Amino acid sequence: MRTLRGGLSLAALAIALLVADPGAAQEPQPGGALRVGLQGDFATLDPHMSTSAVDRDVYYQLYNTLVALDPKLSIVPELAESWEQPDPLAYVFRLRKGVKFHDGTDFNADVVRWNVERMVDPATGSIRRSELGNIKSVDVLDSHTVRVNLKEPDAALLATLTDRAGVMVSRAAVEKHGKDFARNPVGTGPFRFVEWVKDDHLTVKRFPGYWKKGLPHLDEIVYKPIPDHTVKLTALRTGALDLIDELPPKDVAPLKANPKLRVIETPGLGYRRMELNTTRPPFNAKALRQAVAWAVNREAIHRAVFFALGAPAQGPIPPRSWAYEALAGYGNAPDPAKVKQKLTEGGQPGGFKFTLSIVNTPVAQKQAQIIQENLKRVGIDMEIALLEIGAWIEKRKAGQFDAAESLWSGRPDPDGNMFSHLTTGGANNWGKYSNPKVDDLLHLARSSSNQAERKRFYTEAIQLLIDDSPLVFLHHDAWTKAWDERVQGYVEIPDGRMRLERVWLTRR
Amino acid sequence: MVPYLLRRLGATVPVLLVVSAIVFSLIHLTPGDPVTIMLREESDPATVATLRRELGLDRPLPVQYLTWLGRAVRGELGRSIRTNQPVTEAIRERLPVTLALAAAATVLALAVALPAGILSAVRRNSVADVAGTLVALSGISLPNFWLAILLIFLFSVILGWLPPMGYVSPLRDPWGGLRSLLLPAITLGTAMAAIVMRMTRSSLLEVLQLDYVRTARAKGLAERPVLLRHALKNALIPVVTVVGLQAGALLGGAIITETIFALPGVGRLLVDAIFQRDFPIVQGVVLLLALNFLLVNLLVDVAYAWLDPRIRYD
Repeated sequence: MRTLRGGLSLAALAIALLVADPGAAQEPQPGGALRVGLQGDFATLDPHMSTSAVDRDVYYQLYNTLVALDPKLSIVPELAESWEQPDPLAYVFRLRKGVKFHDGTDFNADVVRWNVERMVDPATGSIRRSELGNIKSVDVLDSHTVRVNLKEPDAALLATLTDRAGVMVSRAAVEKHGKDFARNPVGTGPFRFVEWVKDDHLTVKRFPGYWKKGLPHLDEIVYKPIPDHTVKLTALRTGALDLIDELPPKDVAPLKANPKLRVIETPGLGYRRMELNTTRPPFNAKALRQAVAWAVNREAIHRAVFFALGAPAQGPIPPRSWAYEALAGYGNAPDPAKVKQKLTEGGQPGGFKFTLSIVNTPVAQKQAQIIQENLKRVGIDMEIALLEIGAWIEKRKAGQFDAAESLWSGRPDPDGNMFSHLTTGGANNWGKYSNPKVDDLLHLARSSSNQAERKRFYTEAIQLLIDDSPLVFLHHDAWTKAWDERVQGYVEIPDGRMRLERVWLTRR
Repeated sequence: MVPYLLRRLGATVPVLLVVSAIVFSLIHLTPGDPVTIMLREESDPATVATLRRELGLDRPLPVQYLTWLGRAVRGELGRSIRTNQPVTEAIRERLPVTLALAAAATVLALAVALPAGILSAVRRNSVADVAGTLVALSGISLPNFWLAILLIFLFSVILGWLPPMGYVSPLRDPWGGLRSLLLPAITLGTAMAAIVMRMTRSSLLEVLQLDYVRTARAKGLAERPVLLRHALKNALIPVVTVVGLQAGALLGGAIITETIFALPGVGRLLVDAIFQRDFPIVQGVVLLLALNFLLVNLLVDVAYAWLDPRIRYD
């Protein structure tokens, strides 16, 4: 009976799968053009100069990285077939042979060294320089082996190389086009560049010489930047687009109800936080920082602003990471008794006043209004300053703020979510927080290669952070995408960026 | 006429100079420079310094302005900070889209507004007049982003007749181009139509009460020639003024319309450039918009002389 029931339920499952996704049982069909709608247009096609996340949605089509992420966030081979660490200050990468750039030039050890040197050279003005700041030199061991020498041990290096710092561009193309490489990209990826009419479309075509045999399935991808959410959703519903990104949280449920569409939400790698300026009143007083941290209703934010997508945040590490540990922090509901005690401790029993600077977006505004209401209940008077992004960045840089709300897009390795944000003098430590113990722990976690040990360091550091409250953690946002039922084979990687080499379309 | 035109064209030069100086100061006074915006989360001091030096942002403002001006005089507007594309090329790519949109909106607006305005004036206080006034009032009051969403909902989602977004060049594909421009043109043209219609109505009403119209009627002319040949031409002078001024508003509206319908026009180029502090693009586009505004107003002045031969420019 048991086996029979098991067999039956298996059969039922198989039928359910077939009904739910008729394409799943089919072989991928080659050909077709995929039309992708994106929130914003690409800023540059030179990955070594890029700072906007949306750029990466086309990079993974045009280029390959040295190593890649899989859906479980493990590092897997890509242009590097294998790697080893002969000592803590070196990585040796064995490169794949027979890989060609779209311009016909060879991918080899010299190209890798040239790419790293391009990013690290201050004269290039590359944004990647700080990401690879720990690299001392690159030695070419033979035509397809490189040795990367480090200044300090760096456990996060491989994760960094899955992003733009690991993208290998054609040296010949950069030498030919100079700065215009930003509009004439040449990589080793599954698709080659065709044309880019800014704010209208960007087209890439299948690269027949791609080193992964049988890939990509699609002939062509056309990206269209559509700044208005409603128009983008309409274009998907009316069949003018096949795949879109960044759905407004409120639209996710109605889209899911549409039988012709598929919607996915993946927990992201980043977090929203309130940065508190620890150099001046009121937040140079630890108790007042704690008062704010314990007064926020994270559950309300999660439901009202994000429509229960993603997760409330208690720390900088998202729940899906190997380094995540559920800690007894401030909890998702406010704790008025503790707030009262902290206000008294901070010498402001009747509450105090401060200004929160936010970027003028609907999500940030709504979230700030909820926080304002939460704080009002405990006598804290929070004013909201709505700023244009440029003004907001300047204010944080100049240290002219009480509190600022920001969204960190997140990195696969916990180091990327913490080190530069929380160590003394860190590049993203806008509130000028400094705790030597936290500094030590984050340095230790960076130099250890033992995952269990690293997790212990991070957990200890986060416990200190919750107590010090230089950042008030608010929310882990989810990545959302929606596509037409014709689109098959999409695999979401937790960094949220599109990788389309395995995507195919069923015939109409 | 010709000396007048030359004089007017000559006068545009100082205006453009002032405009460029104001834009230059304003955009540099706005918090956030291109490098900060470009680097966002990263801020390695050496990288910042290199980029600032490369873009010439480390030099004093007057020097930066004069350098820019020196090149601009030679028709060279610099290159985009982000993509390295020459500004003139970026504008040349985008201008046809905005021109097509503005032209379509104007034609649509005038085709509706002039007959409606005339009808309202002739049949004053009739049902048609009241209905026209109501439609015009809502046309002025409806924000165009809202109107755009309503139009998309009706024509793309419910009826499925027109595409919700995107641009097709009417030169390459006339039918597709027309379809892609129709909703944006209605969006952009509605406010203009409403204003022009109200202006036509009140201006024509005023003229119809003048003595010379009574004289024309008294000498036995039919109502039609009185209206079209005698009254309308004179009534059009304030209307033409309004249409000219609306050309400025049209470009402002084009920024919103282009963003909603994802059209790659000059308006969207400008907005994106402002957000990214892409100074050369902002300068170039604003200069172009100012020049356009001046030229349209020159055309308006020339049109006066044609409408009313008593107006002379000597």
